[in-house]
Amino acid sequence: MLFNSYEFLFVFLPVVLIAFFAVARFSQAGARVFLALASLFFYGWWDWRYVGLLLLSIIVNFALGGAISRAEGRARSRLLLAGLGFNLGLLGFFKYTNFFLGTVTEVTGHDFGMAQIVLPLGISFFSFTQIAFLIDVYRRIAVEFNLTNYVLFVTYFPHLIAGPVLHHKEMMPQFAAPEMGRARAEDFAVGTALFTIGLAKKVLIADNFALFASPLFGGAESGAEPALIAAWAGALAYTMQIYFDFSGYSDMAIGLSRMFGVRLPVNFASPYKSTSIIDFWRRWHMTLSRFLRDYLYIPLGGNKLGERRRQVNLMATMVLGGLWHGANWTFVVWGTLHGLYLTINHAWRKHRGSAPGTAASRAGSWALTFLAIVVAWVFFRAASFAGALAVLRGMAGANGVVLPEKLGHIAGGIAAHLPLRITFSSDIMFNYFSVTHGLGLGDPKRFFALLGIGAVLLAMPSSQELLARYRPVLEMREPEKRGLQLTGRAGIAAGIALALLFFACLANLNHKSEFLYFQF
Amino acid sequence: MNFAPFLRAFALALLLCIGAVAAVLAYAGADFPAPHFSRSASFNEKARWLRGALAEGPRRDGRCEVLVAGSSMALNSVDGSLLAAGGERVINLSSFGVTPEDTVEMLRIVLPLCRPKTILMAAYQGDFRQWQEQKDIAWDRVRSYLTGGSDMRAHLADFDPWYLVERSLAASELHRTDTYMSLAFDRTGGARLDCTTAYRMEKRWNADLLETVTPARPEALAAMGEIARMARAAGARLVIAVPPLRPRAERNFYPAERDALWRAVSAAIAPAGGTLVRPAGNAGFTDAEFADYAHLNRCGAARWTRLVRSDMERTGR
Repeated sequence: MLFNSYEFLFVFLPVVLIAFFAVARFSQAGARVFLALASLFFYGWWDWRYVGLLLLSIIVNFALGGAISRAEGRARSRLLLAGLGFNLGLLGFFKYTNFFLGTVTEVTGHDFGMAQIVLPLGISFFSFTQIAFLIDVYRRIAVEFNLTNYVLFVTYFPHLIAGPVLHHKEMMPQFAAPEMGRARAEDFAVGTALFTIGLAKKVLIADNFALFASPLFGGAESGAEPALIAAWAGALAYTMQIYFDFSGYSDMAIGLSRMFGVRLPVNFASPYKSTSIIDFWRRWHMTLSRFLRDYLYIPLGGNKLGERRRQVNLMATMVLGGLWHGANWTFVVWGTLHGLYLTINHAWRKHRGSAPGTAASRAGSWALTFLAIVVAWVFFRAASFAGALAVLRGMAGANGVVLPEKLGHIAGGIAAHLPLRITFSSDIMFNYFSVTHGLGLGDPKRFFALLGIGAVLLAMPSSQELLARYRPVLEMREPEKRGLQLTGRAGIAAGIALALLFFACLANLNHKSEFLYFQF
Repeated sequence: MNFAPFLRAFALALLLCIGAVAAVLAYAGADFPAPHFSRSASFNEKARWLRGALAEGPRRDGRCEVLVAGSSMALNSVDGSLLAAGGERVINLSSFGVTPEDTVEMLRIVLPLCRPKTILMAAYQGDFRQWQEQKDIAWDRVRSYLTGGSDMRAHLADFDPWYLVERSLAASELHRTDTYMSLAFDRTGGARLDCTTAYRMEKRWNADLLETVTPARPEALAAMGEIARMARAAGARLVIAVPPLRPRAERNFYPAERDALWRAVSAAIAPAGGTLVRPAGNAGFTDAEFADYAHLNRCGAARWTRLVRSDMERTGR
């Protein structure tokens, strides 16, 4: 079930909210059981067959967690290794079997065929959540073992499919708190506001950018060579799409959870405002970065074993982080690129120090960071190296530049003397490609208008900052006196504005599309 | 802190918006829009019309002598009542922007329901042009709808309030014949435009000065071949008829390129026995018989349909 669907918004969510608070009036434990069952129903809506797999994973991990907590000495390590092996084995089988077979086929030339395996929804997320649990038990950080709460911790529907990646220690106290199940107007108001903002990011912004990104990458995959403007339009469209899609999903997840009175960790903090790649990874998919840092980078030695070892650890973390996103070498390249960026960024910082620069240097840093991110997204989005390289060649101008026909009269003479191959046409957006493939980027005016809207939204405060006075996420310890006000007269205006935004989303829901991170 | 005003305002504003949509839809009444099968309102309305026509006609008495297929050219420029003069039942499947590929899909659904003796396709060069608007037709849903699926189910399968409101507000197109967007289907499913100049748009009237003629898409030619094969398999005669253009365009609008295009179309349908007709009388039409540079108005449609009919009777193939 998608958050952006009529069945979720008008049936599942209201029924679960009402029933949860109704059951909680009589029994808090009963409410938690109900929420866990509702979450399993939510998961099973996609494919019931995989509910069994999810439950198996939960039971095995819970049992292993209990066993680790009771064991001493080397038995603890052996049990932890067994748990890691179980989770990584499950993930490896479902997610990487065909990747492995494909790679072996490529290398040996012998066709090993492909296995008929369907990737269970959210497996990357629930595997990582439970790996973190086992390690936390091993480190004696996770100490609470209540099966109902554990099932709810893993299956909790706001985060189950695409995160945020949760820590046992930040959720269990909330599930066990006496306020759990007590309906509060503040939770419902803040949750509604965040959910609406997230829904708008997804439905009104991300899905519209997708209309420009998909044809470009689809075309490049089919052998077309996009010219400069079309290539940049497609790459920028994807850059915007993935941010608004995933951060929109995260806002919705955080908002939904808040309606139930449970705070989730922040996942995005205006990542495209970053002025360095180090900064970017502190703002992008923060719960995954936190996981990779705590359970991979630091165990590998982090930065404690010298500069050279830090670089190796960074590269290993980012390459594996890339592979986690998808079973394709393009994701490995994406991770490797970010590993390289981070290594260079650390070296540069060491060389130059971290003194604040001038406004111009900050602007330059921002532009360079953004450019590096966009280039890396090309590999992330493309289905193959050939497709990615075709887009990058286009972005570099190697496929020429198609400028609007009107400019031909003015700049036609100059163009002939430039090193770039410049042509003038009414089709600057790759629409010619629709001739053979039924694809095209469409109206350039619409694209630039959308890009403008996207840029303005990126410059604005993040959704968490907008609602900072209500501590929408876990990390905010103290409420801040800024952003949207949901109380008093200002609350009425905010309520009307958000209702109109929500309605605009409803009216566009029929073009519903899955969230990009569902595939990871 | 009191959050009640926010929650009340949110709920009330949302209910008002939903209520406004419900009011517009209720106001539409009998003109409630057709289910959303595609981005083309014309196609959606035609699907609904067809469902009615197929249910009351051929499926009941097995009659459907003439199927008219194609784009707006077939919708506006064919007078079905003249084709039905001998008592034949005529069903016009056409809608705006339909490509030959779309017609293949439509015939796949309709031919098993309705066994015609003749399939008449009115076509112009625009049907084969390189760039076609994406209509995103959900053919599976169209098939299920035309073969008896419920109206309610078709609406719920792709509920789009925006579309429903937009179409409800444009409901006059279902009745008016003085607009290019007319969807006022006659008894045979055609939508013929008034013989006045009041609704003429400069851009459409002089489009021959702006547009070009490109070679036909290979996919469109392949689809024409497929249509011919489907017609033959169904025991029907396929006639592709080319309506005239405004006199100026008929003379000057890339005549060589158009000739080449029609030769290619003719070659595509000939192996399966299809015929391409370009009535000799096409050159004799006057501006008064056109709604724009390519679409005939009601007066022109009547004269041209007679020409086509007489050509078909003469050739008798």
